[in-house]
Amino acid sequence: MKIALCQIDPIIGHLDYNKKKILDGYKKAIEAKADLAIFPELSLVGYPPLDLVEKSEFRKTVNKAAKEIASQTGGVGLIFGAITEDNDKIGTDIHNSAILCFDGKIQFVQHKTLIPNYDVFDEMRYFDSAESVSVFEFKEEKLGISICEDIWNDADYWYRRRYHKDPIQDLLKQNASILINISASPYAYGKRCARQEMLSVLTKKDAIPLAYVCCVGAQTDLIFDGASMCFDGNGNLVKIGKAFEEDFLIFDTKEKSAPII
Amino acid sequence: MFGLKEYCIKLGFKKVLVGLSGGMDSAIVTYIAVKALGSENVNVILMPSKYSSEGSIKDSEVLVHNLGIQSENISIQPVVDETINQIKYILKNDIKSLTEENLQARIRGLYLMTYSNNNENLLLTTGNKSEMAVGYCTLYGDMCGGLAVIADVYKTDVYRIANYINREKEIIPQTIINKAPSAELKPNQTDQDTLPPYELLDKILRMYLEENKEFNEIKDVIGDEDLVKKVLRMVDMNEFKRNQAAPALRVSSKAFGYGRRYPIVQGWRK
Repeated sequence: MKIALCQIDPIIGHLDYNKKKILDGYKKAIEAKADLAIFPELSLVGYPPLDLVEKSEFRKTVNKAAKEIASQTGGVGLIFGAITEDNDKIGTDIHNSAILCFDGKIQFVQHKTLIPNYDVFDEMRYFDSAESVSVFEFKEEKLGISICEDIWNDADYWYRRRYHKDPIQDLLKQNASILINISASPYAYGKRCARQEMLSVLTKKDAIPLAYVCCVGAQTDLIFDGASMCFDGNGNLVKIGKAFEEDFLIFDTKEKSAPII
Repeated sequence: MFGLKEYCIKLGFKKVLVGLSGGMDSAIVTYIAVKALGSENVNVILMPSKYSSEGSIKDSEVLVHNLGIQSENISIQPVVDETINQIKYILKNDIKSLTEENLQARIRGLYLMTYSNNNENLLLTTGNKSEMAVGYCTLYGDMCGGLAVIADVYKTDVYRIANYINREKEIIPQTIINKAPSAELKPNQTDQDTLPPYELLDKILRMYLEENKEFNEIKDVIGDEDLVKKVLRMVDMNEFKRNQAAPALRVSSKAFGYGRRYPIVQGWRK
């Protein structure tokens, strides 16, 4: 499967601007003959949106924009990040979600399972956790879609884990054939090496390719460095996006690429 | 009162300092400080400029007398004039009115911080919630200080508190309560040159902040679409100022501070 990783720099809350970025990237993916275009965590709203998500008018507008994006899709798949709502009247009823659309419609939504609440992360204030994860069959592949923190809890990699659940293992049990993780991972020195090492261990152990798309850009004090990564099923890093600027990468999961050292 | 007292006891401050302008906010903060810590532990400084009205100075003196506190009086004018004189070369002789207004607030901040430093007084900031919301305050000027006493109290509530304090006898001079609120940073200035009447402003702010309402709902209640748009924009745009403000005692369900977290850089209203 040819996956286009769209490493964009959204503006928090500026839905028109972000929507255009997503649709422009989607067009570029079609031109590049990709099967699927993927965008970072909360790419439609910008990360972190903080208390903006508590406003019902904001949520309504996000929902409308998400549907508008979906309505413009054709056969090529599109995954972007946005907030979504459930109505179970427990918790905040808001989720940090990955939205998969094609053929003019939202086809599948995967909520984030692991909700970080340490250091600069403040997500339990806003987001309910996913009840479960499911793979989604698309163009003969089983996509295991996860969001940022979901992939940071590998039992073999971490000496001390933050969570009991491991959504990535749940996706693998459902025979996921490709992992997709959409992220907003703030920069700190040494962080890029940590990401690479952790993801390499995970993809090697589980023998599965991974497309890991990150946002780029500074949001007040948080700096997102981009450097989206693609790993083959042997734990090799085969593609990496530019640091500190927007980028567009094509990752062909079937193609053999030389590892980047 | 309790919040201020606790802050001082737990941090080991015996005395506090307030810059007294002759307006409502600094009068109320000074009153609260006296009630919390005793009149012997509250110092105030009057820092008039050429724009300060005689009434303001006289009102401040009456308040100082009513509360039985120590006060100092020092003009900021020579330092303002000399600063302008010195800096005009790099400003190409073009000093904007707003720059000069803020400069006055900053010289006052400088005096207060210097006094506070030297005498180990805790400087209290006197901004109210309405001005903090729309950014009607000067960074490194009147925002100087270690604790914001009434930054979670709307201006209309500040008036209610003043009337409550005066219920039996006039402690806050009635002239302070009656006069039009003014920063007195340029001739004949009043807050309402820049802001809508506080009754209206506070109504909008309450809906936006406490009730989490958005533009469409607020404009339906208020009617004046442009005004609502302007006020909400002012609140959003001044996140950068509030982010640098002293911690504010929380008395409402939604105070500025870590209970209300908004991105500084954002484009929701664009």
